[in-house]
Amino acid sequence: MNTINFLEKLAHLTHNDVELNEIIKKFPDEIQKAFLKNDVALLKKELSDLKCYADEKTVVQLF
Amino acid sequence: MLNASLVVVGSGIKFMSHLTTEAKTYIQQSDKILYLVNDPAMKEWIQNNNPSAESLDVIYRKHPLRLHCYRAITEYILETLRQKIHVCVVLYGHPAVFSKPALDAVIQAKQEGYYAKILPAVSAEDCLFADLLIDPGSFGCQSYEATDFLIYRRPVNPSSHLILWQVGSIGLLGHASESNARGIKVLLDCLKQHYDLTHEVTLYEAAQYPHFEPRIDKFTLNCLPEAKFTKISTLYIPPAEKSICDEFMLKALEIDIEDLR
Repeated sequence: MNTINFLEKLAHLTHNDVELNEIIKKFPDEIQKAFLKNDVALLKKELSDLKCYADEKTVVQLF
Repeated sequence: MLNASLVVVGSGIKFMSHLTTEAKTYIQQSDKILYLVNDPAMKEWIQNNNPSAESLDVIYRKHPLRLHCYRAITEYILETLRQKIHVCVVLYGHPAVFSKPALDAVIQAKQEGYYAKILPAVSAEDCLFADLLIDPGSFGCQSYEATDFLIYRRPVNPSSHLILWQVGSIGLLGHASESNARGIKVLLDCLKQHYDLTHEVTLYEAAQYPHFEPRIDKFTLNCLPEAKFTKISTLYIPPAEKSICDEFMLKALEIDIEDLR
């Protein structure tokens, strides 16, 4: 299972359904680390080399 | 049957968990998808679910000033719609919250006679209320984009909740990821006119993936310059003063103050 499919599957599991530590074992170390450390930046880095834009959604209107 | 339409949907904040059934349906069934999302997983999901999907990232980086990029995005959405097809635009979060390009595109499309609408989605503010256990209905809630808050000198009511968005990008109108130290200093100078420096504030970032936890950092206001900001950081300042009922209004509404306790 690739990471995107895994994340999609995770979205359908409640915290009482899942032993996260167990099911992330089959993923690369960095992905495991991202989950265990709650490190979103690390997970994003592992998901894609592409830069993610759109973090700043608006700017003030100067008029 | 309509031959063209524009529907703008939001992907919410947390990957897949916040995607509504109607947003998912529009993404899968529209003729053309344009998207601007900040998550590689969501990008891939959109591309897998509709082969027509096209990223707006290129336009988002086209001009040095973000405001100009947003205008270009609005124009591109409208150009696509004018090809007489069913267009769905996907933005992260809520598509009408802190997101002028799609809002402008829908307003203009309606003026041109097209069927156009925005569907509601989960915004970062919705996540904040849940994660910080805040009811905006209690004490009232002021919510400002941080740069807007400063340059327009928006009024502060210290008896209400205050939420400041994009505190990691104060005064930065372009794309550069330069230091925000000057912006934070200006913000602190402003806030200390209304709050004691020992007042506890929270730096917040919603969880972006299932089974991740939100970032909730609490510290006193004087520690603001040392805080670690990202582009999605939000500053929450809880009420510092008690609200006082106005006697005249209580009488006019025939409300007994004891019934409010």
